[in-house]
Amino acid sequence: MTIRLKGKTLLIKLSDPWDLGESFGWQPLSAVVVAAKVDDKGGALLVRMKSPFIYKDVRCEYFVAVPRYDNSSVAGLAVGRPVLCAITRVPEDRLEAEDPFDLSWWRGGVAGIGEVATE
Amino acid sequence: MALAIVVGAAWLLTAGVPGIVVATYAAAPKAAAILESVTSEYSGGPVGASPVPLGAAAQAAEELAARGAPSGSRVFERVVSRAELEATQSSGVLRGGRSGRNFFTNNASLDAKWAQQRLGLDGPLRDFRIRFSVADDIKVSGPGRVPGGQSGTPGGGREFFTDDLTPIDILRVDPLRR
Repeated sequence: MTIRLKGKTLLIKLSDPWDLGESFGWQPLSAVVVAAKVDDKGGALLVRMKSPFIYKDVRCEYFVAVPRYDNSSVAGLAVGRPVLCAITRVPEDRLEAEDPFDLSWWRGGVAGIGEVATE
Repeated sequence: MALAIVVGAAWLLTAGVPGIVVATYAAAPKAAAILESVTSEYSGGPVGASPVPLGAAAQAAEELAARGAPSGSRVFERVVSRAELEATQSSGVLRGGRSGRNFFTNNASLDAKWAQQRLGLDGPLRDFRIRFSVADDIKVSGPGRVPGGQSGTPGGGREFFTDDLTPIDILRVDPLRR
């Protein structure tokens, strides 16, 4: 199922981890939805930061956002409802993956928790 | 109104492992509800690791009183980095008053890796556990079950949160074991 979020601008307000938030002063991060999906686990978003940043020598431009709680869904964003998400940095080549939302390969790196809302 | 002090001693005895479950409330029915909500799960670390010494619940209550915390305050814990600890201590506000949601638990392990696992944390292992009180007029949401982290930490611990600026009274700081 596809929901109409592609191209929308989102604001990501990070809550954790501390070091990552400190690195950009806890300012809301503006990002554009590259792709979105809805499934029975709440769906996922692939977003691109409008202002990519470097954190611990890693360029952070693309992130996958997945709802943190079982009872929430990225679909809520379509009606303006913020969603608390786990946010994981992914390398650019993941955009070419068969399932760019898949994080099963991920074993560590830049990740956090934050509220995702439409601008 | 008499202060009701609720300690999950029965659970501690039946589980046979140490842990801390403390809630001080001004109203007994509320305390009973909290007791029910916080005594059903152990998140204090591997069995036998003794992350919290026996009697810690009573000790925390004494600390609360000794520090002049107002009646009706509640006690929670959060694992933090050294930098976050310093910001919290200097500001008197959870997470140093940074924006975003303030997550915490009622019982964090003193084992850094176990805390990471149970609290579903990503990123570097945290350095300290702080125990703190929150005034009763601060809206605390929860408890809920901690979801797993992105790096494979399973979660499963107990999670509370606030969305507002949260002044706290730090009762205790313990370094986490690595």
